[in-house]
Amino acid sequence: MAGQFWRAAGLTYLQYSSMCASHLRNALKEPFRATANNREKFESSVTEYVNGKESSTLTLDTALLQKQLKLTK
Amino acid sequence: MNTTVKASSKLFVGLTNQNQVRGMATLKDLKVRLGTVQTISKLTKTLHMVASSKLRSAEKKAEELGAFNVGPSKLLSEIKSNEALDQLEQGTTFAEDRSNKQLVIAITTDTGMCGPVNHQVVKACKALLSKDTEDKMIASTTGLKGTAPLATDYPKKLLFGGRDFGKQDYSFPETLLFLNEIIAKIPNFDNAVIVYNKFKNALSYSVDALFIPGFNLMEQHRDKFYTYQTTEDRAATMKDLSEFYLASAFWASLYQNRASEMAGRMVSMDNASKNGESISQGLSLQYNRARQAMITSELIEITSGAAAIEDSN
Repeated sequence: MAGQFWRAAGLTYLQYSSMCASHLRNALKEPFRATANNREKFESSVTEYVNGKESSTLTLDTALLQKQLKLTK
Repeated sequence: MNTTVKASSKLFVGLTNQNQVRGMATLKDLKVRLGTVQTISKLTKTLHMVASSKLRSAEKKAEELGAFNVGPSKLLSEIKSNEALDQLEQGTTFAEDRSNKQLVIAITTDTGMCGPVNHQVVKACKALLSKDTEDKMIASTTGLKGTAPLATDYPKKLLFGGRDFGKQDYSFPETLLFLNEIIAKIPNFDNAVIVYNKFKNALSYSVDALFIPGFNLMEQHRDKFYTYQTTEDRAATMKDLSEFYLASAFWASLYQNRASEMAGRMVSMDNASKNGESISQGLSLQYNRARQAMITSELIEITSGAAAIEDSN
């Protein structure tokens, strides 16, 4: 089957579907595209804990998403 | 140091024994306390109103989104435990290496003041983690209120804690990124459990746990899916389905929890403002009495003083 090349490239299904969704949003026509992109704005952070202590923090935002998108191009 | 202790003890003495300690300090203390209680009541009232207005939209969203998770959960509801994997003999080869790890994802909020919402989830998570003697479980939380209690009790089992997660509203790419962080650490989890508050109505919600089978577990139950048609590569479909259900269940339970949070906040803030009102009523009564007593005693002093002057004349 043809659809599984992304897994061979090391993507998870979650990344794959996130990318598909982003591309779909970008393919919308203008008034809808802006609202769709506004709806998907976010900024949060996720902290990794090692032995109950904070060890590293990663910021989840649109920039990170864009970075992931560019990796595939 | 000494003065502060004195001042605070005066406040309490003043409140309990009105007749013994009188004067400006007690009166002032009472007034300050009354002001504080009134300010807090105003705050809780505002929070109550905000929560009740947010509840309506959260409830609507939870209801609308719930429908999207009905299909996948029906499909996978037959797989409820890890038994099929644990019963296998040692040395069995799996479709992918078995990690022996189980994900526990607790959905908690960043801010408190919403009744037992977070407490219930943390309690359920701790119950899950306490049963796990072989260090198989790995917990993550979406909000700040879950990280501290889990980090103190099970420091080795806590993996990720979110912050500001879904601050405005949950966004789908955000949840995917969050889950992806977890999955990147444990790509071949045996199963995942999402613990959240299931919303019933504005006054009741209860903790619920969703069981998401991992890829290996699904492969063991392959025969259950033969009634469904898939592409040739059944294994790949199973892997996708496992991750898809993880995301879909997570997304639906986030909104269920948000609605429960708003309902919990509405009820608890309503109670808090009622309590605040009764306290401020009691305090203002005390304040007025103390004031009256002070005025009376001053009047007596003045009249007796005047009488003394008259007598000497």
